[in-house]
Amino acid sequence: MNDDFIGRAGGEGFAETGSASRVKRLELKPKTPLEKFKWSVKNYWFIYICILPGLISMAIYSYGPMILQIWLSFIDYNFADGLWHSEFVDFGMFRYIFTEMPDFWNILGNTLWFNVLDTVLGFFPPLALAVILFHLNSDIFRKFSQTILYLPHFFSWVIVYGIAYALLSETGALTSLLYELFGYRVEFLTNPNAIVPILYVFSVWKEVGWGTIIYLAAMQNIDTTLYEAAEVDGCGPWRRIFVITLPGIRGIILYQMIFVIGGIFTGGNTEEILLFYSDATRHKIETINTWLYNYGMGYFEYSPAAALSLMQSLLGMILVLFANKWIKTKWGVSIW
Amino acid sequence: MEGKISVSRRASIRFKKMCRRKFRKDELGYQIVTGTVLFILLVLCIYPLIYVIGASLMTEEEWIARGGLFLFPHNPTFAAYADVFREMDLYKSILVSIGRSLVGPVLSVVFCNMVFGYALSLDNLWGKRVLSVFVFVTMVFGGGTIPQYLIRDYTGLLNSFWVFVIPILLGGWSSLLFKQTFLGTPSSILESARMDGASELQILVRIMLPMHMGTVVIMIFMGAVGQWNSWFDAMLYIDSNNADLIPLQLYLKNYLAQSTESGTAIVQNAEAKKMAVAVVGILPIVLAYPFFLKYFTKGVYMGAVKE
Repeated sequence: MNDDFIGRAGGEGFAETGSASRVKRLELKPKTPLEKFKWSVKNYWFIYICILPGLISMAIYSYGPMILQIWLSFIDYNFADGLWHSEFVDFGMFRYIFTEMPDFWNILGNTLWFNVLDTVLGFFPPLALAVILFHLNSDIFRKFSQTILYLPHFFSWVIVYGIAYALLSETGALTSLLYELFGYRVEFLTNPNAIVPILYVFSVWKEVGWGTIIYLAAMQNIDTTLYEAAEVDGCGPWRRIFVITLPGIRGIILYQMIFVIGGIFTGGNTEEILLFYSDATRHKIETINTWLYNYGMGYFEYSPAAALSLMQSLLGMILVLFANKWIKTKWGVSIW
Repeated sequence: MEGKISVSRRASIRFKKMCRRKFRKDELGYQIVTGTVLFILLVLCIYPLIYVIGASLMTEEEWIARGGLFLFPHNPTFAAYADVFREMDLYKSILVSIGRSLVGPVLSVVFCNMVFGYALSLDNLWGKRVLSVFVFVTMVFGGGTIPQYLIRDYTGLLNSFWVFVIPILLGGWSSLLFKQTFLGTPSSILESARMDGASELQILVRIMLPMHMGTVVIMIFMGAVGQWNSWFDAMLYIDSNNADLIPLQLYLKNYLAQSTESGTAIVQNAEAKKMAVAVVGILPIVLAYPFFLKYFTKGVYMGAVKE
């Protein structure tokens, strides 16, 4: 079971596995494509009808924007001329972004910095917490901890902001406490130097417990006899983490890593940043995603925003593919 | 059944190991250190919640007098709640949130994702590969905020309740998860059902649904929580003057952003009222959470990780 799991987690466990064990239909299997089609329609016509509404919605609301985005980024959209009569400008918008767009390099830097903190550093706390939870001796304490730690995941970012507001605003709990202790009002939410760490702390607070689930699920499958054998050989409780537990879930860790690398340009929680946004901290936390909202929507800069967004998602995809390939050649783990 | 035995056996092995290990010195040290760390984390995790609830129950005088961190108010009062619930818009926003949390998951999870996952789990469905790719692409590529807005505008969904539901009917991640779950069904059961002449709908409703109830329940819960918590879509697609369609979370966001001073007069008990609205936003989740807790560990990810 153990080997099987590692193989799956490492290889194709999460992607679509082949369905070797599935039943073949009882009737004779059709051969040519046309026969297959006829056979499928005859047997599954009801299924086709059932999946149709979802497919139509996906075609319109997922593929529609994708195509529209490509079109928008090659024209110079304005309201008077509309979508079809605005001037076609080739790669003009991309040139505009790199050469003239105010703030571009700033928001790119912010995006990178923010995502390095948020995704790369945010990657370790759940892993560490999962290890702690897994090696706890008391089952009751573990269950109790899990119950509490999962809870913040189900709160919206507005609630999290409400909590941050309650603790860190001018009249907030922590601010008041520090004032009483040191006689000095520390600025938190309007402090440009503190805002990125604050965002990081609150996103960890929200997601750290939930992030452990996937690791804990993987750890369940580590062979317990390994621990006994290690103990007999004199392996201490700290050492067993690095010798058995972490190598045992290597597949999942690497799998998560691919997405972390892929999210460096695309990641960054728009909702969170927009909530914590203030004029004083704007230049520190304006990322690509929030720019798309604030300027693209706010100032109707549809075409530059579409071009930027297109570049961002292409870059994200290239990074995922690159990370996938790199990790596959090095450790043999792949997302498909 | 097999799974069950092995789990309990593993638990007993663990228990024996635990008993033995309790007497080891370094193990004891390890347990004390990590236990303490975990305890601190738990306090950090739960305290903000207690604080928010406490702050919502506080009188204004006490708020000014005490300041700083506290656990419970000395003489709790529901005055802030009474004030907050005097506003009609709050009721409207609660109704919108309840509506979208009920309608959204039922239409999306049950009628689209589950059925689609089942279709993908079928063996000889013509066009299965194309459908998988079709869904997978949307997981990798996003449309971007502005084109999404424009498409919703062109299809007349702006300022309508259905903008919360229709565009996200079919989700890539959850339909692939359903597919993975359904593939884990023992083939002999399906074989015998088909031999007895069960239709695909009957197989889905009578066999798949009861067998994988955990996954279905958890996906519905996640869908409902997602709908309850979302506010950004309303900010984008609903006119900010249209109070009939502002969900609770957006109402809360606007409420938090309100200045403590309105005009010249200082708003009475402003902080406690803000916290009261926040508690209204949290409460349904906290109340529903314990009932779904048991499904988390075995439901969602387990389905993806093991058989």
